[in-house]
Amino acid sequence: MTRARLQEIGLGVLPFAGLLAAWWAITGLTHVSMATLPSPAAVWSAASGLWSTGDLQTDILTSMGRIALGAGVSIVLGIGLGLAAGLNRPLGDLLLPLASFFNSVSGIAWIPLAITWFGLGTVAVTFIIVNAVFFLIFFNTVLGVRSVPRIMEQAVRTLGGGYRELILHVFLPGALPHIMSGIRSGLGFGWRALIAAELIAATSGLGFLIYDASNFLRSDRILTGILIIGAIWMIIDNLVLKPLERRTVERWGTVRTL
Amino acid sequence: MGDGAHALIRLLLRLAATALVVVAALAVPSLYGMATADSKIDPRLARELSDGAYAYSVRVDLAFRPEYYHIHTLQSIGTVAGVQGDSVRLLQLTPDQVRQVARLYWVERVEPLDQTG
Amino acid sequence: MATVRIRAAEAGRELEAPAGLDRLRRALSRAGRSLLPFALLVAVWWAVEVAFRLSPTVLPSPWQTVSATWPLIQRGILPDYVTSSLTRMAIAGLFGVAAGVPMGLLLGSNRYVSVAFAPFLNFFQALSGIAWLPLMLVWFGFGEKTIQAVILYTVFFPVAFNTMIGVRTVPLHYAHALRVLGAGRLRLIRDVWVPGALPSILLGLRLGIAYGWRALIAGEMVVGAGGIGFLLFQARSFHQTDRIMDGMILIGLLWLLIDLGFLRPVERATIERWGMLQR
Repeated sequence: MTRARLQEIGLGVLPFAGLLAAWWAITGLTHVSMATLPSPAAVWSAASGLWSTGDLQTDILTSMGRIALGAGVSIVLGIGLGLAAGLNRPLGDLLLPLASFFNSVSGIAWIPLAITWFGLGTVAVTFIIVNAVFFLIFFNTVLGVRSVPRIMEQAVRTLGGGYRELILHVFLPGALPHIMSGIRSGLGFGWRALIAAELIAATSGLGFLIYDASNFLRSDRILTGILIIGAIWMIIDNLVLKPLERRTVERWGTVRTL
Repeated sequence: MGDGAHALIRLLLRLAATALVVVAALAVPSLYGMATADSKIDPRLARELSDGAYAYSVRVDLAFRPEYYHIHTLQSIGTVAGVQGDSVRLLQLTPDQVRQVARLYWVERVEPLDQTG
Repeated sequence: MATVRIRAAEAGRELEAPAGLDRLRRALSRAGRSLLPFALLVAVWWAVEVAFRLSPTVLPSPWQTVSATWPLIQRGILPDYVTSSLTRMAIAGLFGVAAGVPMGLLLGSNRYVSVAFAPFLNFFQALSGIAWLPLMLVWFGFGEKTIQAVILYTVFFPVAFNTMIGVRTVPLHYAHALRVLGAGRLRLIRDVWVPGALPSILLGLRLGIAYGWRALIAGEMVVGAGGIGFLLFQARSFHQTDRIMDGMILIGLLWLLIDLGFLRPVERATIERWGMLQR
């Protein structure tokens, strides 16, 4: 078991090593300019330069703070309103088409309006993220609540359960697998929207770091930013969202098949 | 297997039909522009064009104040020399370029530019 | 089996034919019901605009927004920008899928190769295409190439990654069984890997196109070479909020066109044809 896992990791490293070697060879053997393709060593020194001044940490924390804020607002509002709309059929029928349309509009399309309303900065960026994440969570919560079999609700009512029990013990857990997959895919869109929003509507954060660097043709800084953006998302997705989703499905997923 | 190939062809036809409708809808304005192009060129200018002289300077009349988009589009055809009210002055066009300008459906009229004026 | 289905379909047609008027009425009421939420939204929007006396640069009235559409069409801006956005999406979508699916099949067909490439493709799939935009700006400048490169990247990786994962989930003994019967590699691809991986390929397609569309809008805002994203961004510089609203509604409608006109038919046809195979 562990040997297979080790082999998997070893194999998984190979393409990255291949890419790194190719990158090294191209920058070492040909005369590409620093602006076109900086060498791995140049990127490393750009990264450590940004780190030692503290700029990199600030940008990382800014971006993570914004995604956390946007995701938090979206999750609370999405699950809350989603439960309400899921429990009340006419309300749900009314809001679902709107949610699916706003989902089509997508968070990124809100960038110009967000700048008009809030100016450049964290408020605009968070607003854009919420627009990218909220509707997906809301949508999935409504679908999740609706997928809970009626028998469950009736059983709890028969046993004398009130609205509180129904929500806490029937609808919320029953809808959780749906909600979790909504959160995970919503955050996938949210992270992308964050980077786009920071490119255009902010003066700090990782998106701004790479956009600002491109104005000065500092490709070494751009690549530093790109690698960090990729790495952070891999960490969030693989260490937080995927395990959460798996655990939810394992713990609560059976509700659906009953 | 034959069934699968059939289903695939049906799907592709359907997608192609949708794409065709979209393309047709988007092509309507430019087709309209092409159809009306000749009537928009000033008769005197049209005669000169068919005579085959080379460089023309024209005044392009629009029905509105030109915006970035219009200046940019005209700039990609010829040299924009200035904007006056609802018209744009274009310098040094070949006959083909004059016709190209006239084919833009938001162009109202193309007139020769009096060098003295 | 087939004859039963045909007979059922015929029976259904006979039943519905005289009730054509009824069907029309039902369709109308369904349309009415799905339009009602939007009517309410417009009403709320109007009420907010009137109640707070907002300036048109902050929030134009629904009527202002609607009447800003006609000049956009009449002046040639809208048709041109919609054409460039849809053309970019179509090119990137076609090439991304045409390159991503074969690449995924190729990498997925060998166990070791697919294990090796899984984290690699996953990394580049997760790394949003829009993050590459600044580097593409340095490489290709503010123009068509930059936008094309970014969306192509954004479409390609989800498609390739999910195709590869899909091939990997096909039970090995299907391929073994066919090989024992003397099937070649082409036959394996056509009869085992593609059908087996289809649900996953479709997931990749949907993700790739959805991410790609968003990357396109963002890219157009930055690059300034036309397109709906550029329309929105320029309208902002001139404080034409009614045009921003028009652009946003248009983006929603165009996505519905892509979704209902292209993605859904592909998914539906696949479920009809291969749905059984999944069970």
